[in-house]
Amino acid sequence: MNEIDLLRELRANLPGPRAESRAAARGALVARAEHVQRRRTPIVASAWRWSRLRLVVAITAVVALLATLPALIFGGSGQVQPGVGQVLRGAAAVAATQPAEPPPGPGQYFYTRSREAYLTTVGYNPRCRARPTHPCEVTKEWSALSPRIRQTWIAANGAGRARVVSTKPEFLTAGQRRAWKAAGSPHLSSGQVEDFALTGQPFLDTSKLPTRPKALRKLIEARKIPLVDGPPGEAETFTLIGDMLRNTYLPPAFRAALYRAVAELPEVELLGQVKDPVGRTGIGVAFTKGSVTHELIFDPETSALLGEREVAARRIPEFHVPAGTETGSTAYLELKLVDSLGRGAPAGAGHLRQSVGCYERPSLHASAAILHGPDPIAVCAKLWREGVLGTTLRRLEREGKIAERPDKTPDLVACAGDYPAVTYVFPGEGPSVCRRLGLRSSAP
Amino acid sequence: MDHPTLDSDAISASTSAPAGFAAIFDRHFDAVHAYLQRRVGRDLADELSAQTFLVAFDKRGGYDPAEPDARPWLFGIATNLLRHHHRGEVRQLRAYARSAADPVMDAFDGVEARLDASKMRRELVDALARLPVEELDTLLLYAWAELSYPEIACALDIPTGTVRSRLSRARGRIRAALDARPPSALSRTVPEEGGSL
Repeated sequence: MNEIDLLRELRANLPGPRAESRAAARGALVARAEHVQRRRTPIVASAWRWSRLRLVVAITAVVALLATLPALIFGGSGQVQPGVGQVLRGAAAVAATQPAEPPPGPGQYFYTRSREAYLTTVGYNPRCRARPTHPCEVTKEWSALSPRIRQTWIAANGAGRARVVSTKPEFLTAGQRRAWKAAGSPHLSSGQVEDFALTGQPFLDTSKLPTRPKALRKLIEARKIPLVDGPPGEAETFTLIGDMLRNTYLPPAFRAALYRAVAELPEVELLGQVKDPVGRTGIGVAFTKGSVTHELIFDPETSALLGEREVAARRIPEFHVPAGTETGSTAYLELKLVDSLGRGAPAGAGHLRQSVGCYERPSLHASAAILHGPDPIAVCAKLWREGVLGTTLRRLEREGKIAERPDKTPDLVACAGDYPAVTYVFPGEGPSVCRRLGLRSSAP
Repeated sequence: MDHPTLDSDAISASTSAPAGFAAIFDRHFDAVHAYLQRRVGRDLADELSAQTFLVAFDKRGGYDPAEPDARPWLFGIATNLLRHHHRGEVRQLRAYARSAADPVMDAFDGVEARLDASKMRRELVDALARLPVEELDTLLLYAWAELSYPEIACALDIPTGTVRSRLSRARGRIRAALDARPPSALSRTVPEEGGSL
């Protein structure tokens, strides 16, 4: 027996593909073919939309599969459906074949439009209605979802603007509407427009991150990815992956890895075909922790995240809502590259404004003053000279918790972190101060 | 519905009638999946084989109509996709060589997932893990996908002479690893030294 014969014996006689895998792959292909066929009918669309249309429809088939597979394979017994892992790996396959979104070029902005709705709870005391400004103990409350349309324009350097328009609040239950009436039907803000200048919104840098799902999941679980931070726990990991998936500028291979990482999370539930918060059809997966189920809904055609939703997994007494009530949602409606900041941009929008964090001690948890200025060291040195900084140190000295406080401006060191427009300044010497805090030494 | 007999005809036809590309899927999916599954296991094979046909569909306009059989082309696409997972594949092979439990076989409930006590087979696997990726691809396209030299050349877009030399080097390395064993071993049936567990 030669080495080729030996090799041919290795892993020989494995079973063929699972029927559902084969059907999902074939369906993905057929869906793409049909999509290409449809595309031949000219339609008016933006450049961005065209680029999306050029892309595939892939797990449309998976959607169809969810409904038809049991009948196809198991003669209608309906006992077996594709698992959540399989559907998410299908999404990964679709994500991996998407073309990369180009970053904003000079003079361009990454424009996004989304609709978000969060639960707002207002407390009141019926006896104080006549004197609303008088401090009164809250005895009753009403809650409503406050939908808002959020638009952002962000340049490659992170500068840009945001506009938030509030729309008509929605009561979760008839009881909540009655509670609002009982509170005197206070004015519900709607149509209010808020404009902000954004200075230094960071983009997630994936160039050094792994695309192997296990390694990626490990990093996320350890909260070791810059900008991807939160409390421990798998529910938060699910949420953080959702946060990353909404960043459409991420490389296709990385987005695929995110879907595979979700597939590896235990306790993720497949919701199947669902409507997103604005009624579009997608595939839903969910993670429940305590009384809240967090749903992610993605587009079967492109693997893009359509929306997220929080639903009461059981009755939530503090909100007076029954199980199944939607308590918050976000729908991602539009994203494209644009050549301007649009109308109504506030002063300073589109320009990087350097923020400086002056810290009293070499710790990101220490008291700090946040200011603006071109020379971070000079800005903070002035605060030390004026005695603005060091108040905590003086108090600690008074309380005998430290031996002595600095009586003059200490040596200061500037560090850079994940936010391009923020410089962190700490008392201390040399770049080792920055390194110890997980930051980089800031270029002078 | 009748499909064109030759893959090249079906692919050409699919440029004007895209749905016809399903014929290529029907003919070759199982072979592509089997090859990928043997290399990286069932779950990843599901994903990569689906990707292979999506990528092939997107690239069908560039298919050489002089090539009647699409298998080499499809295996070439699959090989390119596998490259992104080479480190994982090597890790699996090393785990197999170290522990005698094959992660790829372990995924199958219906397959006898016994520990492989054959020392020779583990040395073979260890040798595979040490091959440069180009030689590994060439060797396995030959041994597992059963492509001919010219077909491998087509799949990997390299001259046939390069296929020959890569295959020769890869076989030499494998033989050298196995030659550490008694010379007669290569001519015997694979020994089950510790029996199966």
